Amino acid sequence: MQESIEITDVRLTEMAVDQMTPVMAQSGVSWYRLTLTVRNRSHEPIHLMWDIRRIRYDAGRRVLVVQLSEHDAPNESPMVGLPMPPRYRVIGAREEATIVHPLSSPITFLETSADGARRPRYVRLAEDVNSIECTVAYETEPPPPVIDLTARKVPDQWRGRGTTVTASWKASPSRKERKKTSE
Amino acid sequence: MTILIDVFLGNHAMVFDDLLQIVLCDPGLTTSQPTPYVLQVAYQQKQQSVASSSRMLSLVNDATTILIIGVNNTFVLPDGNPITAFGGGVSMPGTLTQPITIWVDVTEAGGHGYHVRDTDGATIYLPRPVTVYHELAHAYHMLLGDFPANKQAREVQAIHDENTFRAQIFIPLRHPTDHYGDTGAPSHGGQTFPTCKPVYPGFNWDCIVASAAVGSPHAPQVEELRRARREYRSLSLWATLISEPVLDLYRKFSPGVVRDMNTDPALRQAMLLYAVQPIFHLVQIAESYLRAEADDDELMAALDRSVGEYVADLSKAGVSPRTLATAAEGAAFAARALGADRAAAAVHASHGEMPGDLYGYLASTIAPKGSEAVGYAWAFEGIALFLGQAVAKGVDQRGVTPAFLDALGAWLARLPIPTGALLSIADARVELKVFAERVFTRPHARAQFAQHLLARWPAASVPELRSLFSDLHYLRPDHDTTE
Repeated sequence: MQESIEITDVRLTEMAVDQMTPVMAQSGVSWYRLTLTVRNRSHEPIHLMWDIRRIRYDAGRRVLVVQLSEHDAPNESPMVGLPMPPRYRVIGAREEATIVHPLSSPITFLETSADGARRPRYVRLAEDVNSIECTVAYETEPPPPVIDLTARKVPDQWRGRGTTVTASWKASPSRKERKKTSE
Repeated sequence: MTILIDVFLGNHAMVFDDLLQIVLCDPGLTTSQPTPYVLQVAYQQKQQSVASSSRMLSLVNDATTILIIGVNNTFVLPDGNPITAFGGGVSMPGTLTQPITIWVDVTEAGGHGYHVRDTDGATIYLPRPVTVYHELAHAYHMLLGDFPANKQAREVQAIHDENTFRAQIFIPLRHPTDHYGDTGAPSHGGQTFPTCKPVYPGFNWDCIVASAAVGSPHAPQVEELRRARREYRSLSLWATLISEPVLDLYRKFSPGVVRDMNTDPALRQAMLLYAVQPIFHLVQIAESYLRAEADDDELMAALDRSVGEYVADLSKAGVSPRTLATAAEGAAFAARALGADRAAAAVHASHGEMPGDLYGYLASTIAPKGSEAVGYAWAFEGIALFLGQAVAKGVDQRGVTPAFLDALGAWLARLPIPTGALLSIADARVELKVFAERVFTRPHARAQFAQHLLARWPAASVPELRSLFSDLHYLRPDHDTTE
């Protein structure tokens, strides 16, 4: 079945200093811009999850998995608080939208060993990542406008929401030109 | 026990600044460093008590440990969420082996800021100290025993406490039950926080000597030094353990050096010409050397260009080769004074004659501040090597030679290992693999580094380390490992 949306392009470009905020420019790490172009192929508006909600690194495949979706979220989070609700944007029928997110290099992950000890793991986009797999969730119904903490049931995740589509960016051998190569 | 602040990721100054804001800059809030990994917060109230400072006092004096870790906005939490999904702050309950842990995005969404809603539905700024206070409220109620089981109720409880702090510092109150948050500018009130003292200027605080010498924290040389520091410090666990004592020592002596530079223009000028600029070029040279496949003409030309640029800059500033030679000798002498020849070499403590006294002055400033001066001895040795090459270039136009490359390689391989750095054999395989891939890519450099590390390694696990060196192609199995 054809999906209502398609990710038509995934790009990764290194940011120049003048494209960064002062905090980013002074952080001492490299910054990249991950750009997804998404096309609504349907005849009705769709609501697209706009925030990166999960990031995972598959060291075996050297793949960075970036999800604008919570379909793979675990049932239980060890965190105390509630995540903020994700942002959504509406894409009109037959229209296209561009989602841009900055990614630092390195990205710091926290790994927990079997004995419960935690240590950071640094993943560098230029050296450690051959491919970035991007997943975007969308739906035709608008998300709830307000998260009322006194409501009987408050979503603490958006696990079941929407349908997802995926596309990948692959590093070219020269790593200079970075474009989508597969879907 | 108390509140601990993570040092490992390098954002501890900003986290401490947030805690200072919570106690309204009460000078009774201090830190000590019991291990290389953390700062321990102590608090004796010296100012009139307010709600937020009383809260801090309770937390610091509780038997339970709370660990606060400053991270950047792309940090990924153990459950796979980036920290931005939690509005820049999130906590995890403690376990038998782990403290209550709080993560805070010190970059505030990469400089874009976070916002939440007020009671009218307008969006208002969520400043970082408020985020820290919100997370500490979760921890406080965990310790108090009135922590709700339900996640919504926990948020309502923490927002209530957050609003007490907001009211105390006269910033708009947050909606008590609307759990909305986002990044970017708020619709109301702007993104200012009523600080009780000037905040540390972002990430610049720890390049203060270079910033003062160059005249700007944003100058390309300073940005480059900052990049190199962050990049190598975060390379791996061992890289952090090796570099942190050096950085810790820097934090202790650098404010005094900046103070002296502000009152002595000659010292400031000498720091710029004979310390900051050489370090900038030395980093360039070292990186070019480590990246190169071999000691070929192309590499020597690249290194020579860097030395030539420095010499040209000195020439424009009217510096003679003889003056430069004085600085080079001073750096070499100070390296010995801070290193193995510490007892034998006495250094000049004054900054009277520049540049001859520059490195003696620096060594005399560094030495009393801590025992881990070995990193600075190594750095001064590298600077002396570079300055020596610059003298050769300036006097008789002599370019980079194979002998210089050998000396550079040997210097890099003698990467200082502080005595307090807790390098473990359990981490060695992963760490040595990273070092081989990212730093010591050349077989010769790997072998030199292996010998250097073996000479300092605890005897009990030397055979295991030697075996790893063999597996990872640092040393041949039959290699003599005497340094």
